[in-house]
Amino acid sequence: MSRVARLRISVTVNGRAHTVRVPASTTLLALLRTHLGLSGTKDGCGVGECGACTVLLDGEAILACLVLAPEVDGRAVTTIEHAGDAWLRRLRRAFADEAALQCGFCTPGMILAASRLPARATTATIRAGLAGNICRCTGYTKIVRAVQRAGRRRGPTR
Amino acid sequence: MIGRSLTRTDAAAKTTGAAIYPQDVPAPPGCLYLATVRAPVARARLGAIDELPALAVPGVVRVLTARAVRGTNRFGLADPDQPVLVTDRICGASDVVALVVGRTEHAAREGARRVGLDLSIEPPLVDPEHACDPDAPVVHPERQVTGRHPNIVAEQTIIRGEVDDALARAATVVEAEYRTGFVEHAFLAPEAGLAEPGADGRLTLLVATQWPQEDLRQAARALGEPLDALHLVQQTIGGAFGGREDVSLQLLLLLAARAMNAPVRMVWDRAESIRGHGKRHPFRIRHALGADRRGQLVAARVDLLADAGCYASTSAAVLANAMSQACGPYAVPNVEISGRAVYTNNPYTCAFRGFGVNQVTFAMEQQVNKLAHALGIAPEVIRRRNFVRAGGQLATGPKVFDCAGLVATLSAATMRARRRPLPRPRADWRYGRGVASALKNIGCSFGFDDHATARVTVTQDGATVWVGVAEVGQGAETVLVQIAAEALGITPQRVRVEWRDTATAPEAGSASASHQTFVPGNAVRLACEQARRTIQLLGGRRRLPPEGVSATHTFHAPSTDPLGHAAPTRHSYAYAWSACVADVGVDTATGQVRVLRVVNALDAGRVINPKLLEGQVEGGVVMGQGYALQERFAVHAGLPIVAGLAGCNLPTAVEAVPVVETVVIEGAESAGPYGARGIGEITMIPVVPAITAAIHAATGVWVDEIPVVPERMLAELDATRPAGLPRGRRR
Repeated sequence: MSRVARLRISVTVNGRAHTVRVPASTTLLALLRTHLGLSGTKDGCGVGECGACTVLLDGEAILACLVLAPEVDGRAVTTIEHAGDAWLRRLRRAFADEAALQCGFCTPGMILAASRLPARATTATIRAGLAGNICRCTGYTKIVRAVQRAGRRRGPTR
Repeated sequence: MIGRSLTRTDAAAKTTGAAIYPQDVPAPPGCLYLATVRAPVARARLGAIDELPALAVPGVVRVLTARAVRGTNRFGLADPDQPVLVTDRICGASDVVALVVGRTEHAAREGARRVGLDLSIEPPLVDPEHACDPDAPVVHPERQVTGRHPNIVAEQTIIRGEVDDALARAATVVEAEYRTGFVEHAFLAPEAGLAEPGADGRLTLLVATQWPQEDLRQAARALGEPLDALHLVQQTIGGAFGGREDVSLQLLLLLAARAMNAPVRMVWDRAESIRGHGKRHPFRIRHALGADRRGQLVAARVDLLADAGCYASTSAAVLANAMSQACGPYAVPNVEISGRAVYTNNPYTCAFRGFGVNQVTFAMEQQVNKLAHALGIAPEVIRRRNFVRAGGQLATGPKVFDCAGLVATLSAATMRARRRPLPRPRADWRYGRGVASALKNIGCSFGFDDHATARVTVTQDGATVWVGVAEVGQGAETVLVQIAAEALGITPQRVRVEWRDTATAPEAGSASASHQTFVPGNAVRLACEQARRTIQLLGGRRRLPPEGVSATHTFHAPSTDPLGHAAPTRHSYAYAWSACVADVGVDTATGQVRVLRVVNALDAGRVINPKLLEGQVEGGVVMGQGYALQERFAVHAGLPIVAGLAGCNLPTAVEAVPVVETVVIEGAESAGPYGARGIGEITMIPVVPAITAAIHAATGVWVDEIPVVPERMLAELDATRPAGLPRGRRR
């Protein structure tokens, strides 16, 4: 077997700098889960159909299964494990308070996708913003309510 | 503690990414990886397996075939008709022919692609309607069957009264044929797991399943392992809905871990998950329902045909359940109900939220709505006139009690629905409102000993309850913490429920049939009450010895009778009751159907946790909406065409009904813990007929086949349009 060329990737994940050497075909999802041991980002389909692997790349919500590791070189990634972010903390609390999770497998991606929605978004905006994140358990009602609840508590800055 | 919306006990782990699902379990040192060689066709004779090309792949260490299996090589929940690895005959899409073991996941998958199969491909049996033709291919020729066609998995007829006479005398008879399709569970976490041999020779299996002890029993027989050499530790379960009741990758992991004497890991991608587990049963239902002029039901003739697919799984029980509840929550004096579940080479069908009741409820409720329409009676009135009364008998004979919730839920749902008017017709959109009622048995029926054991230890620090439930997302852990806290008289923060490890958590049955609150809930309550009495005798918690006080209780649900019993008193020991109102809009130009609002009223008995209950309702309603309108699961030549979630066409946040109103009736349920009922399945069941009734109210069209995708809706509308009138805007 020919040796696969490995690329050196420098990426900041949840505020921490990492440098890894991975094959160029490695997805950001595999980079996070396998190489950095951050298993909070879920692998639900691998082809961009479920949204479970949603993370933030330089603040934008993206699907980690559709982004290759070389694309994140020199950039910043935020995952569900990020403890410092106050807005993520508010969303987590709101999901817990509203029982907006059941099996929980979509929850990390759902919370990251929700974190990019405007504060005080209408339910229609929230639903459109979460349309790429499948939940098979909740029927979405409590998720929408949790996002609204977190938004109401958020300051007016964003 | 009962009746309070305690925050889910798993909320913190699940919102921080800390919860470990099977795919997240780290590979231990020396771990090997597995990949399956799947049947490429649905029906074939298997000759030689050429392992050499796979073994030539760097990193591939072994190819396991049926020869490596030491036990019976057969498993199945009811009938052990599934091979762990195929010996000589491929029967369907879920069959695994060989298992490739590699040092990396990549090597294993690469090897699996290269295994050569010598196949004599035969035309698959795909139409259940022809499964019992004299010249139909026999799906399992090795099964010994006498007296009936070998493709019949289960068959039964129930006759009460004089159906022919009663239908002939009826003022109105509606006859129709209903069809429902395959549905994919689409739990969000695909199957994955790890099996590891211990120093003592025992195998530990780390997976997510609905019934861990049953998995191990099947593994012991199929693989020739002593049962006490097997041990299962549940990981966080990423949804189930019935799709994890059958064994999927458990036996493959155990087989390989034993053969290699090393830890082995396997992760299925979504395509393999869809291939590898069962589906909801497609039903064809012929239904004739007669009533007198006042709308009193006089007779029903129902013929059910269920596609069991390539393996039996729980098809016989699904059919029995469908037959028992085929005439809904109504008293019908004369019935003839015949049912048959047949083998085909289609994907095997299994448990799925509702267990056969969804399909028959769609048909029966639509029939009742058609009768009401034909007789000019309001749908609420015809239902009230025919609901079974306490102590009365369902159409198939069993007596029911505690059914006051039927009238209460119907009144509550219809009154709540009236608070909001329907939109007025606009452009091509027409709007309608529909109603349906439903019942669903709680727990395993027909003579099955539904039971659960719980053990509790109370110390000065708090209480730990061991009970082998499965927290599939429904909130079982939280609800059992509340029950234990109530029974012990302590705060829920001081109670831990340990359910994951078969070495410590006693069996609590399958996470099925809406039974977890009811049966394990009772076991937990009774064990805790026993411990509390002991503590009181000792003089209070402060007098507890250091090791604390322990108690164990096994709760057996009330006994039930088999379906064919001559004079049944009870098919099921409890039921949940519900009524549902749906408001829909139909775009008559495109055939698109939108659900605007659903009111779902259910008799939940005493509610343990209101927010978790609402979550079950909201999720069940949207799953019902998907079943009614979207989730067409296409199968061709016995193989699923669908390879990904997009193809399952699940409702997204945009399509999902935006307004779900839950109305709870807390009716009496004497046998449940604190009077609670199980409600996991009833939440979904009336949704489909409520939506199709609303479609009729909007358009005048009865659609008798689901899902009502736009093409079907348009075809039905076109069939009723005068010839030559163009589709599109009408004034």
